[in-house]
Amino acid sequence: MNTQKSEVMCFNSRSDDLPTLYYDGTPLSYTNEFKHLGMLYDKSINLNSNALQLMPC
Amino acid sequence: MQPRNYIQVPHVCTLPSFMTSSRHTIPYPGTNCGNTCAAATSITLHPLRHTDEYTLLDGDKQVSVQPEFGVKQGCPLSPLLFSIYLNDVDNVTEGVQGARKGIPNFTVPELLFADDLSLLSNAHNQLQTMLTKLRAYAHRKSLT
Repeated sequence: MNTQKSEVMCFNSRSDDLPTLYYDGTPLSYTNEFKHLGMLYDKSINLNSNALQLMPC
Repeated sequence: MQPRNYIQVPHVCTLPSFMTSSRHTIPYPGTNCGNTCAAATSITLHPLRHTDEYTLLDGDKQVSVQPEFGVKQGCPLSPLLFSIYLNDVDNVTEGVQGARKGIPNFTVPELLFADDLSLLSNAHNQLQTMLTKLRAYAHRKSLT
């Protein structure tokens, strides 16, 4: 497992004080956006980030 | 801890670690690899054990190497071998409550596609349990 490439996302949370999750003693960092199978998800579960990413420059 | 109205998702990347697994941990034909696909796994993994691979410079073969770790890069069999090897990864979510959806008594504890694994739960402690079990699973499978 690669903890450098593993992240945690908490959907629909406004709290900045989220409990830390650990893998083998290593804390996993929280993220606001995560790309999964080519689709960009954000913590509020709207598709704006993904749409912006797909828009041509 | 009370379940909350949000979903936590750790996205775990497994493939780079699989690439560092010793090929000697991959079972030979006739050995028990410990999952339901033992026979298929043993047969399909056999070609991995005796392969010559080369370093390439400008497309030309340079030095012959015999790698002892991971699956063969670019081989069509590699994704299949990886899937078979990780066939029982969903054991890490057994007995743990996944993320609740709109359907009563229906939870989604994981999303697995190729080397990407997402664990889902509404409760932090449930998620930590999954990660702890995943650590034990990874250790058992030499995915450390």
